[in-house]
Amino acid sequence: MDGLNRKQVLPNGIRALAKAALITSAVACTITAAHAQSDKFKQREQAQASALEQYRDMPDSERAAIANEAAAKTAIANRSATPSEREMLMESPASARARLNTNSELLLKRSSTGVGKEIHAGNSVGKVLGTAYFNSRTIDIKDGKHLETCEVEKSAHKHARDDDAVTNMAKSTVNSQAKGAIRE
Amino acid sequence: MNKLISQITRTSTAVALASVLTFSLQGNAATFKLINADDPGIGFNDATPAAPVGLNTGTTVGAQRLIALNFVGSLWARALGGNDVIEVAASFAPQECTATNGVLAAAGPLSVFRDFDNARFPNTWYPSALANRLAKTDLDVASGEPLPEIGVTSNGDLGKPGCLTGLSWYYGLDDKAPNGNSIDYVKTILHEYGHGLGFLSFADESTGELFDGRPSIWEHYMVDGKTEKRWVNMTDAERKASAIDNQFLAWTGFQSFIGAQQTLTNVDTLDVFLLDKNGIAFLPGGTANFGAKEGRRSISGALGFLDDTRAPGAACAALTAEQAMSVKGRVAVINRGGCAFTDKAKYAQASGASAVIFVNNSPSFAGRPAFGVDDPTAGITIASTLISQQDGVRLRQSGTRYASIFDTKRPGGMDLLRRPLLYAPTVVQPGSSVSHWDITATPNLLMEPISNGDESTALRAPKDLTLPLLKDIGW
Repeated sequence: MDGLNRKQVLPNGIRALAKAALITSAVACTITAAHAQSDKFKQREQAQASALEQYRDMPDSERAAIANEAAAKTAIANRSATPSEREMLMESPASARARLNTNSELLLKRSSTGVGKEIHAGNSVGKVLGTAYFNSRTIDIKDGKHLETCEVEKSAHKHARDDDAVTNMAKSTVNSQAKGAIRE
Repeated sequence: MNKLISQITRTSTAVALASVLTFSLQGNAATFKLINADDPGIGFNDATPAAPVGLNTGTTVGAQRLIALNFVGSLWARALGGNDVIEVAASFAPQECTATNGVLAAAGPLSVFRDFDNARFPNTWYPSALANRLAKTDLDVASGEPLPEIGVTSNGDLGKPGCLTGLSWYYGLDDKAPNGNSIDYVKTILHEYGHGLGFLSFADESTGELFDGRPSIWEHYMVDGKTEKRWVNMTDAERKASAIDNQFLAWTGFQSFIGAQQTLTNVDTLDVFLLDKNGIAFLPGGTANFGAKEGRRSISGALGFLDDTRAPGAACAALTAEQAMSVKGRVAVINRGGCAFTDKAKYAQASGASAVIFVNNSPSFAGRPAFGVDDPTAGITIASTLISQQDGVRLRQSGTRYASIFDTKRPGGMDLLRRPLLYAPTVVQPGSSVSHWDITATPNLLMEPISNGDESTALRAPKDLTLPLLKDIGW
């Protein structure tokens, strides 16, 4: 059939059938490919889900693989902080927050980290936060029990903690009867 | 025909190739690059010998810390996919600490960006790691201000005299920190990295003010179930009120919604319904671990208030004849405090109460906690529930003398539209309010504000909702 005009050679009905067959084939191919993609997507999802199962449930071999990966990264991927980065990291969240809010040139110049400074890249605008939005994990020890909570120092005054141990325990054990519920 | 077949073959090959390429790209993992900000000899550079522990092969304290932090990076990298290089500046410096209270670790994004290429919403702040992902470039570098995307500091003094004395970090990678005095470092940092990647609001939850006058991506997805208004469309005053709208502040992202249906399960709660001058009032209640477990689906009756002035010790001893008269055959209303819940329930039952509504004694209480201890020897057969202090006031002031208690199996951590709830206690808790999943989530989630010890570290549904939320905001 090479070199011939198919429209001239094939009767209309056959052309239509051939076209339909081709479309069907194309659709089938697409579906097959989509299936393949879907299957691979599922496989990838399953693989990731497996890797990300609670790591307490991971097979030791898998956990060891990730651990080895972490150890290898420790050897090659890390670098030391610059003085500026170190300075930024050492600033208390309350201080960074204050500088972020005042945004005064005087305060900005006090530090090389530029917390509060506006930075531009193309059309975008950025703002240096420093540690101002650090979220802390704190721990209280009451009556021999530990309670880890989150808090952020968003002002110069440290957030007054709720020292009601019983109330705290209520929050910590709201879903965890195994850890003991509010007792009284 | 051969040409056409060839075309089809090419088409299918292209589709297949595209699918392989897509798979390949999606199969990549981001890279977390650690920037060590500690001085020689301390923190990550601590050369004190240490025995390998829980798959952590480091032989010095510093090396174990680095490996543990990189392990967390590896877990997150696999979860996020992509080709991003996310720099994390890390330090193991001393933190605010006393013998019984202290900071374990802190983390967050070090900068934010708005109006970059591919930003989903204009005039909206994004944490830098996410902004880089969406813009497909490192915006800090492009701006001439190269910065790490995330900062994290950990308490290097933990366990030393005067700083959480007696505790110690556990650097194992196996989630097997010994019970008692060990703090699992990996789990602590896994949560904190979530915040660094964007699991937080930049709005001030105490005043309702937006960061620098503009919303962050987070505020586009927070909605108050009472008004169905998103935070991005609220006034400061409305946001301030919404931040303490306990059990009504919800997340509207699609991925999280789907994830919530797969992850969150029903919990038994005994809620109180009463008819007052404003109509039917609904007072959410906690679940007692003692007393009637079955056959408590509906308990209706007259209310019997124990003398309020006796709080907080009411019903800590056998009721007086006068008290017994007020609760006999009724649903007893008793303030919390002074003794165990089971004691109060036992004494109320002995006086003929049909059920007990406990009223909390702290305004900062929120949610529907499990309460009391299951003690079969106490012989308690009646049902009990625990309502908030505010609802207790409402109950007393309603003028009604009649209420019903219903066993409502509701999804722990979802609102009535089955959207996952955010933490919005009635008293703002800076750093916790608004930027975490609600503590009623069942099972416990990684990004709740309080560590329950059994929270999932899977990051994704059907075990956790951390990754679905990050996907909602653009990851």
